[in-house]
Amino acid sequence: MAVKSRIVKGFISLPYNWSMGPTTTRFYEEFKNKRIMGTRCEKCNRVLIPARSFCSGCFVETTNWVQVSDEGTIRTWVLINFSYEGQPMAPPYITGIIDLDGADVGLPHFVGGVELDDLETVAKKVRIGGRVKAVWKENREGHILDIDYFKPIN
Amino acid sequence: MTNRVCIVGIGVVESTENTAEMSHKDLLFYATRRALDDAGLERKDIGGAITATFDFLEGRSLSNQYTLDSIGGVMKPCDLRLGEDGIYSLFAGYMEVMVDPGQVTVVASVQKASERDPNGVGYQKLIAATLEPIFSRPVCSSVPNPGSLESVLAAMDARAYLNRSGLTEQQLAKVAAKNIGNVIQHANVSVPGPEDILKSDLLSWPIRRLTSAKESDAACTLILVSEKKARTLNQDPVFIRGIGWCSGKSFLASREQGTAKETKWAASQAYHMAGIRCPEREIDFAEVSDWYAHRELMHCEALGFCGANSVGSCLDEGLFDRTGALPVNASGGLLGRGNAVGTSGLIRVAQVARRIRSHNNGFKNPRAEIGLAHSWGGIPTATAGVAILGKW
Repeated sequence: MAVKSRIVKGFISLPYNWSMGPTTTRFYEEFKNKRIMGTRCEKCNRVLIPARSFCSGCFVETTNWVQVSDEGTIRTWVLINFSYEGQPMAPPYITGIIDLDGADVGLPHFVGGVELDDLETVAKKVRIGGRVKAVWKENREGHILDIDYFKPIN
Repeated sequence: MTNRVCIVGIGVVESTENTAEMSHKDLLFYATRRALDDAGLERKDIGGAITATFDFLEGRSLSNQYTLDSIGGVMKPCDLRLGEDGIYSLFAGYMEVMVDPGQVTVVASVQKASERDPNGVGYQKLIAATLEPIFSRPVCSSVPNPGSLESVLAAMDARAYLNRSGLTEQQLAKVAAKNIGNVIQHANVSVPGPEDILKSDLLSWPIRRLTSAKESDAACTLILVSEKKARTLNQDPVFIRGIGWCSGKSFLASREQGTAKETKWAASQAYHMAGIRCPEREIDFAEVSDWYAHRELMHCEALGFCGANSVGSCLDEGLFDRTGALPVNASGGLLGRGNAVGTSGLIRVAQVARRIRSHNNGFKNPRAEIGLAHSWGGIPTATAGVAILGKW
């Protein structure tokens, strides 16, 4: 007998409570005062952001806290002009990786404060190697989105 | 065998160290740092690294990619064994060192039960999700309290075992009292007796709160090298004399209840490799999965520590006590120390290695030359791993 396979629908919901650990917790606490803090590895001198508790290269604990600039350069960027499930905001918007001055690790964030209607115009203002500065939110809660976006300068 | 594999570094972080406050990356870093310090090695010396973890337990897809930097594995040849207990990283590490005897191999595992919900419901959901969805799940998902699903499945296994062996609930309580007592005997706390164990909450007859291990956090890292390499290091090496692993049927209805055949097969492979013919005489001590009290006895039987009909009398005569002829779970086991699901198997190896080195809190066993570490995958699985460790 030829039969068509029946389908059983499934769904798994699993809540978690991930611990940030004390280092990341302090990193976010400093956001409330508009400070981006990293930790410096005493062996290789790299400044790690978000502040890390150890250097993956030298494999030592990093306890030396340093403030890095809220200005930096764009390493790469993407204009998102389509919708997908679980998106952080309604399109269009720009996501990029920012190399902050004084840090040796990039920070993924939004690039904003530019008109997004035309890609050609956007590409003139937002470019790899271009300078950007953090635009902080008025109410800060100790969260990565306490920075609203990075705005191109110059 | 000219190029035997040995453990030269041991690093363990357990929940006694306020692990709930640490991120799981930190937890694994501390374990690895301790293991490297123990071996007198640095990250630059690492030739390869292997982790064994479970995505769903951690809530991250490809979870061990995420912890690569915590094991010193960035830009190194790494082997990521997902969905396997930590003891499997030891097996993979053993083979890597056999292939390249000059290599320093890191094997590691981490588990943070405290990141799942505190009532254990998350873990029960995971167990439900391991059941095949067409025949088993419709039956098991009707269990009213999700917290009880694990004990329901464990109880079916325990009932079958008690029925076959003639063991009593009192004897299961004795196992739990022994293991819990092994942990707290040095502390200024009264040790619960079997009667106290029998007063603990009944989860699903005969499984009780204190005859099943509580979930816990832990990270464990071991450093493996060849015998030749070990001679250049300033550390007491512990030899891996035999390894074996095996999986039985995972489909609930096909799984034989109340037996531990996979453990028996895994052990016979490890015994053959280690040249052990009579385990009850040749094994000095063992760390055996006591996820549930009945499983310890079932595993002792499958490992050949006693005859099929004599496990109860061996227990009653104190054979498996800390001071007995074949101490089982002198560390306290999972019942005494907590069960870091997916990592505990590697921790058992670390416990055995430490005992052989006699670094275990000053505890010295005059006959601690050959030890056995055993891991069982837990109620949804039928997997087992065995490692036999010894001195030079």
